[in-house]
Amino acid sequence: MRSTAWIALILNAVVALCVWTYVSREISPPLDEVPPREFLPNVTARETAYTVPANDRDSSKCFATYRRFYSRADADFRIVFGYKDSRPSRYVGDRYERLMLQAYLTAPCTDNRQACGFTVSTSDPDLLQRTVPAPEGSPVRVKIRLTHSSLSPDDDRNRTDPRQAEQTKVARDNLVQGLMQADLVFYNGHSRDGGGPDFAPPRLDRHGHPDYAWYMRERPGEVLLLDTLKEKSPSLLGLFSCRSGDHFLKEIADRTHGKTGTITTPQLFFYSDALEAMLVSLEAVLGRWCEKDFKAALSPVELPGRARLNWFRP
Amino acid sequence: MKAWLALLLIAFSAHAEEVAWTKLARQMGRSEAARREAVRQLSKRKELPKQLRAALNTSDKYLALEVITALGVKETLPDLERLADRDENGAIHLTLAALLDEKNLAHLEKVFHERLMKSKSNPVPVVLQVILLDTLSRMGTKLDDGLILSLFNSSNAYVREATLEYVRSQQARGRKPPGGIVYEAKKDPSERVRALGVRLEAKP
Repeated sequence: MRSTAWIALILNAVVALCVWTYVSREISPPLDEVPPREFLPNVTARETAYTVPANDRDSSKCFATYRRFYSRADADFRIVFGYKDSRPSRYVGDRYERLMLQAYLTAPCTDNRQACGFTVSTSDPDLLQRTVPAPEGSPVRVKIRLTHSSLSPDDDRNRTDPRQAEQTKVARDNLVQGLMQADLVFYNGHSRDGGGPDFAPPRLDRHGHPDYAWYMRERPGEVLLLDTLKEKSPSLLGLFSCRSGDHFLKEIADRTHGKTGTITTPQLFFYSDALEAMLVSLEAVLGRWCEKDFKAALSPVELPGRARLNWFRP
Repeated sequence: MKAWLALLLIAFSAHAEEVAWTKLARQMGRSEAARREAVRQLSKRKELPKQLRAALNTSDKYLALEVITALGVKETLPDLERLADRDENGAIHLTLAALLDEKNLAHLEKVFHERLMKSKSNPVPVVLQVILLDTLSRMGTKLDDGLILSLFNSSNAYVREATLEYVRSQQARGRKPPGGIVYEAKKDPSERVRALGVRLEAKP
């Protein structure tokens, strides 16, 4: 009798908890989500792999590049936000920038846009997926693994929280695995004067600035990048970080024997420029834009030379 | 040598009246020295606050926000507050947070808090939900349980994470987590959210 009472009590508690869970969702529904509009590239392509006439496909550099690029049933994209501190200030921005990009990628598709309509995996919040049509053959499933490097927006806190090391590893692994397995890898972060990519709180000098002398001497991120590229390389590697062309382009071309396409910049990148250039690149790759339109979108008239593309080949 | 030439160029060009603030602003990230020189030249310009306020409504908005943050241009606060309701990616709120000081702390806390409370009539983008939670968490602002649960019911795992981080910061101040949130967190589909649920249960 006593045990029956206990069972009844437990059952009541479980029922009450279920009811509470349901009611709390009714009383406190999730906040609405708002699709963003700014940064959306207001450029469209006139020439894409879709517009190449069937008879000209075999001789088209544009068509050949995308045929190679989308040769697998699942296209594997990796987007890694590096540790974007603003030392000597404490603010770190990559977690927010990642969410900004995610908002664009998951927004409903309008105006013939392609970098949109992705769904986020319920169990893996860093995995986004969408099926895109193909000019020939079956549609392709595009999987984007999207990661960031900082635990919180406060660099002081990140330096003392052991969970930062785990977050650093998540971002670093995404880049390394991407370089070895993926079709496309984009890095958006600091160049550390040639010492990047970087996924951890920076090494500081005695004035609290990143220790650029150390980064230039040791080049830890570049060593990681080039050592990994020695093994295998993606079809397209975008480095959306300050002066990435000067810092890394020649070494990457040497290491991959020119097989890996690149997007780099010869100049300073503000975060908004980097985010926009990355969105434009995703739009172009997913929409299969041909070289001329892709290049024009990367370096618009108001920002000449913003980013350089070296990818298309017969 | 290149750096010196760049510095000379900035110093020279800054003296020319017709040089737009945008050109100088774009020099800011070239190098540490170039940034210092550009900031020095920009901060001498009396017209700058007015120009930045005007730029907030143009395509130079994000460049203006970079300059406002770098130079701490507080004259732009009323304009930023006006734009805050239409902030679709958090950039305005991040700039407001960069302008925080002892004098405006209470006022900006109210601005941030109200933005979240108005979310029913004016939906808050996901990234902004996280920015507001992070900022209010640092400020120690007390949100009501219903709002916390609404945020935790988000389909975005990073909003749920930020909500639990907020709850944990409140827990450290002696406040009990809203009823049921720990239980829900521990059975969340995201492993990271589940881990935070366990941390909440363990108490600080």
